Amino acid sequence: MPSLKDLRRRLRSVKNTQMITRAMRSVAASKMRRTQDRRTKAKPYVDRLQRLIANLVGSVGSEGQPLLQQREIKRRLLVVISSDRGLCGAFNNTIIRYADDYRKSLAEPNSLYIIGKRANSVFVRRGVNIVNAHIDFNGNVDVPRVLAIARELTELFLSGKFDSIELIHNQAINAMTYRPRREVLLPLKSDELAPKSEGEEERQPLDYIFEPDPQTLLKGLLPKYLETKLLFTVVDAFATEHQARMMAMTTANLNCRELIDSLTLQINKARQASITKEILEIVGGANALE
Amino acid sequence: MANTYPFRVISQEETLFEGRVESIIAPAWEGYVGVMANHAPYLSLLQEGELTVTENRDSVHVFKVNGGVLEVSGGEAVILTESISRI
Repeated sequence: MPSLKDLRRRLRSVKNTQMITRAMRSVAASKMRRTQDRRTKAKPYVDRLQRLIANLVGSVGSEGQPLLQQREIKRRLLVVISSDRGLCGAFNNTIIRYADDYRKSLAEPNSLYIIGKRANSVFVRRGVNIVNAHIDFNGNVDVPRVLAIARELTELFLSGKFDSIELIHNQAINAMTYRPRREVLLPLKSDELAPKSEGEEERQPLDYIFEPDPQTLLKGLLPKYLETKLLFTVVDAFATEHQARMMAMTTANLNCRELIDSLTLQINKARQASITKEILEIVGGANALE
Repeated sequence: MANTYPFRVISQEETLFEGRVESIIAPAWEGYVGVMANHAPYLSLLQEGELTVTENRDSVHVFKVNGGVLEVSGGEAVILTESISRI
């Protein structure tokens, strides 16, 4: 049985841990709110842009748009979004395992493009072909950088190095759970851009003055759509990371509380035992004197 | 008093401007274009340059833009851009 002193020391350390987990939970909660806020702020831009592109694709079609061209897939690029920091439960393991399984299931050669330190260290150790890795986002959405990544990905697609670029990331399903998700970033699907709305009236023909011509306009707008799509994915993934960390810290906090309860009980028992022992000794001593 | 129309400048990070304006002057694809109320539907990519937004005679905002798109339709104008800053 550990001594009273040891027990007290352990209790103190668990109490400290509890405070840390509580602080980390609050930080994660506020970061999550901030990240989700970004999404809300970007929403008007995306809605408008999507409507504009949908109208354009609807009226001029997808010919002559390299970003919309489906090619025979010879090489795939998988963009894996993990986190830079740990202490967020199974968040990183989930996405790494999913990406690895998917990678191995592919018949075509493939490479990875990594966001997040965690996935990077794992895949570097496994000797997987990595095109590029960003390992210092720290869960903060740096918009210009995300846009630069989008441009780099576009370049990789257009230069013919890769015929399909897919995003692999965690997505929150509700406040408690998240799941890995995979979606194709490039080539863009034209039916995704111009969804056939049922029951609605026909899309009104665009009676605009175009500058330059609609084809070139579309060519200029599609990369923007792509950038935004990537931005949203990154925002979602990071928000999910903070959510996962919040969950993990809540659980850790609860565990601390349980530990504190049981330690306090043990301390009290040990204290009582030592008092009883002292009394017995005194009584024993007094009896011996008589 | 000139007629006004609703105008917005939206970026991926925030809505930078929203309100009724008398006119805007934007660096469109083929040179600077002024848009006043009741302009015909118009869609243009933007170049690098200055965007001048005139709310009224006493309130003029100037932005620096680099790329984006200007859409005028249904009596309102919207600029979507990812690179813009107030001067």
